[in-house]
Amino acid sequence: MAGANMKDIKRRIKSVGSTTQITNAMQLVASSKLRKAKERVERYRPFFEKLYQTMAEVAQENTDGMSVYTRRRKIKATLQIVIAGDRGLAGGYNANILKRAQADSEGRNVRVLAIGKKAVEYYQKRAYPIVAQYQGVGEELSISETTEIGEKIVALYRSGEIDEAIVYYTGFVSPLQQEPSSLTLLPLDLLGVKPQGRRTLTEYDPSPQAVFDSLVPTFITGTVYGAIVESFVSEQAARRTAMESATDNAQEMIDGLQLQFNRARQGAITQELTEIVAGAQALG
Amino acid sequence: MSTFFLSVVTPDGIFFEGQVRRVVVRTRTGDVGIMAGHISYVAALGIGKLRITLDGGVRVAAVADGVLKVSKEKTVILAQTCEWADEIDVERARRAEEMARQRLQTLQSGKEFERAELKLRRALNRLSIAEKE
Repeated sequence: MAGANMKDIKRRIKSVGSTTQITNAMQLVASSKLRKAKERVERYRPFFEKLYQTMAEVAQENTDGMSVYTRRRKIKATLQIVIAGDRGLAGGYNANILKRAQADSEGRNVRVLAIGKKAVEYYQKRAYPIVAQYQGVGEELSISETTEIGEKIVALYRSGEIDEAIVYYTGFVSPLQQEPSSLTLLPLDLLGVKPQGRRTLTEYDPSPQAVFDSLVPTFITGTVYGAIVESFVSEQAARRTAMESATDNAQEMIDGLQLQFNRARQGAITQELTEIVAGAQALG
Repeated sequence: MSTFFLSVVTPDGIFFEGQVRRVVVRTRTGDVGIMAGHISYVAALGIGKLRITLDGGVRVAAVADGVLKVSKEKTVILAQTCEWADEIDVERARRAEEMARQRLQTLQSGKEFERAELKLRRALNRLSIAEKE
């Protein structure tokens, strides 16, 4: 009886051990991807900051606020751009952002632009109106692919199919903390931003209005690109943390099982000895 | 000849930075040339060529969408995409051209058509610059 029990424990130790190898490997992969993704965010930042500043300056020139992109209109339909990962096993990463978008969609007439396999599956299952879906873009994303997404959003807004566009992404706070966040893309709100320095007399070609309107698609594309890049960093960080604790838990389990195994083995030996001694005594 | 400071920034990082003599870039209203001492000027970029004249020669890149901003201190080009002529992925541009042409044939008009057309223009721009330089 004790022999069978020992075999069971041995088998479990082996199985937990191989799981540990997988989680450990995933943790290492996530760490190296995290490093690369962080560099990409760093490279992207100067572009976005300068673009935002320029937009704010141009907006200052057009004080009449007559651009179609800044004018507020009655919200009849909302576009949610939801960015999740392509794979699971990243702790609460996918669930958190989807929950956040879900909570916001209450009471709104929502359409969805799903980015990442997990987001696509989630909205397909719930039969949401999906205007577009993109999978497998996070890792090897280039700006030209995002251009398509940006143009789609702008086209929907211009044609009046949507009255606002909100992007849901996961902000990277620190390697241990990621925060589901949202950002309203359209209508644009830039008036709160004060341009740096003195206002200089600047020539706009052909007009501030035209420059502003033609910059909006670039700005939207840039923002969506930034949100995807940042979400990808968060995904890797979340996966690394999740896999790290999975590896730790598995190690703890192996330790516990090893203790059980040793006890069972000791028990078997003791029992055998008792049996031998009892046998010898009986022979007298 | 006097020079001025130019920086070209894309979402993939700083593309070019340094003292240049002249820069010519395609804006929405046509090619614009900037030399040292230009007045403050802002224009939206179109799809076309970026030519940078340095002390040592001329460098050419394909540029699409963004903004050109000239101020007293420096000139900044924020481009959505920008590639040196010799670094253009010709294969990829050819594939994009092919796909856009196919789409244009099936679509008749409307937003999708406009987007396919833009795609075709970007692909053709890359190809023509890669071939000429």
